[in-house]
Amino acid sequence: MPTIAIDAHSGETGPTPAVRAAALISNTTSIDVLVVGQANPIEAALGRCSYNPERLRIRGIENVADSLEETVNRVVSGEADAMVTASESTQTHRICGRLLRRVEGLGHSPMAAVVPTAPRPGNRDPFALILDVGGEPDCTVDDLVAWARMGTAYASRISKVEAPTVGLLSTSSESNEGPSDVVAANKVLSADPHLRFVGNIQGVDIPQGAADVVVCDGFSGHLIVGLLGGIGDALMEAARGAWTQRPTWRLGLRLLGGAVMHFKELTEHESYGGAPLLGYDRIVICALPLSGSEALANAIKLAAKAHREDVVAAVTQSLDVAR
Amino acid sequence: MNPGPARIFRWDLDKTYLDTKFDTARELIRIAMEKPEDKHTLPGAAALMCALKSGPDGHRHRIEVLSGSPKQMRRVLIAKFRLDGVEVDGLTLKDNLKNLIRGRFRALRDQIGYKLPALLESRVDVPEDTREVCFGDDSETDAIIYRLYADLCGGRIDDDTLVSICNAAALYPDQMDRVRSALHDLPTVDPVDRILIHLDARSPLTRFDGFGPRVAVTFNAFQSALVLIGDGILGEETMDSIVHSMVEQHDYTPRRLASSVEDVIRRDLLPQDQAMDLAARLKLQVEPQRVTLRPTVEALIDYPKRIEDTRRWHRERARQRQRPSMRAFLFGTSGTDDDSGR
Repeated sequence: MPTIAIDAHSGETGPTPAVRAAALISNTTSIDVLVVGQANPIEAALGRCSYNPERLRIRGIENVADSLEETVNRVVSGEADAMVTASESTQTHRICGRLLRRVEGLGHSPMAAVVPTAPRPGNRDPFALILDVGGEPDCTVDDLVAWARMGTAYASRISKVEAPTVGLLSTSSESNEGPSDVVAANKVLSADPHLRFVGNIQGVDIPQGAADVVVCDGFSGHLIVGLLGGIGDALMEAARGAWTQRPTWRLGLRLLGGAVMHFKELTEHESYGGAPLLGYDRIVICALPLSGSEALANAIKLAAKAHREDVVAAVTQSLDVAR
Repeated sequence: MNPGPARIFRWDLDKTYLDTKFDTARELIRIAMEKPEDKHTLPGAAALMCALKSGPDGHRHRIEVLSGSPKQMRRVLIAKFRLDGVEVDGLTLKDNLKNLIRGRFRALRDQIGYKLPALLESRVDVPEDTREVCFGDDSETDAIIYRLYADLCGGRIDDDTLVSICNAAALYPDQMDRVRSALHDLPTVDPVDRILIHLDARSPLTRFDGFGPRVAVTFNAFQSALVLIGDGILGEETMDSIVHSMVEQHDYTPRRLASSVEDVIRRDLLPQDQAMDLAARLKLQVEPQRVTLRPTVEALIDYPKRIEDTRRWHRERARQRQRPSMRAFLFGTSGTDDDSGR
């Protein structure tokens, strides 16, 4: 079973969510968890949780500021097979860029996330993959092309779709319209025999399930994922309002109970936890800095799955084939 | 004068020795119908019991099992011990048929009113200098029962306090009389050296704060053995059979065992140096840990409060097992759909 290292001090709310996530995983799965951070607060938080020490180890550090670096080191040394952090993406990029080996020829490592979509033909996964979502606006044509290939490799392993469809996010579905980089990337991707490229797609097409993999610059991807989370929160707030306003609406919500919970599962980041940082020789799952224990536990599960499916090899191979 | 056995090891059965799951009435019935070979022993528990029976000093110690399982299961349980190669000296089971006939429905589930008098009575004929180690789990009230047993034997609880404890635990009058009668016949000696609580229900460790240094909570038989090695009750050589049993019969990996050692070190249940030496002997890769020192002084427990806390904990656990109500789901609060919602 894989060992997943979790950076205990990366979140904005202290080590408790990471410790609770590790404790939950130790109790409910056969994944081994390595909690990296200052021993004192970790043990204090652990004492309040239900946990299984057979599957949870603590690696104490002196300085809280070193927790991300120490976590990466545990993966580099082979003590852990993959890692989870809720650090700011720029810090994660910086430290991973320094300590891990990037896939040869890749300019920029993308961060991938999932967005819920309508059912897609031949794909039972309710989520499409979107990359990059790291927030960086600058990317090159080569980046977009590489990300399409990497996203395909990742989705085929994780979502179990043999040949995922790829869409390029643009302001128009016409191949010759939109930003110049997107137009140029469209040409390269259209000619790639290893991809099922469906052409340009617009924002409205994403939730309709136009593609299994959506490729875009980090700035756009970040906005899309954030917007989706906001819509989910707003609808849950509306449901809360309805509950308090009329007995008939309350009855309706009770009747719709399962559907409402499913909707929350689909839209809430806590349900899918983290975004893989692709293009390195190790698996790194990035969670939001405000992640709670459920999000981090799901991020740990995702890291274990990525290790089990050998995502690093698949992503590396996808770029090798294209050369 | 008969010197008596060197030590008594008192064991609970379900969730301490046997891996039993009974949270519903249906599961209880299923367990009652099980054959010896269908029953599962917790990893390493049989090997630990065998090691305790022999002892490091060549003594033949006593294993006394006190369980809330019904008397009708005696034959099956004896057969199970035989299958496990364990020699048990005493097996006390609950007469639930009698409780049922007498309409004492509370006694069907109650543990304190059943176990406390039984423990005290069993101590009456034991030589005064016989020391004891008690094994229980966190699913019921074992930690409270064993600690109360030790405090009562040690004469640390006066009669008024005993009455308030018995009232809080809702003991029947005859159970209270049995407690008083046994105490009358007992010398004032606290015989309990160690209380080991197996965290079967995975309770948070903080639930056992305040129970004092002699109560050690452990997650598996391997950890219990480590604690007893630290106490000098078990010899290090006994670990071989326990580890062998856990690895061969229960698929434990060296990594899981090493993690267990690190946990024991962190919680100060075994000195770091001794644990590291033992781990090296067992070829386990263990890293040094920061140790949180355990309390050394044993304070008296507010038993009525502890009993109420335990009841509340059980209620909360049962509630968590239920599907959350829509109100709880939307607002993140506890409650049922029957709440007003405002």
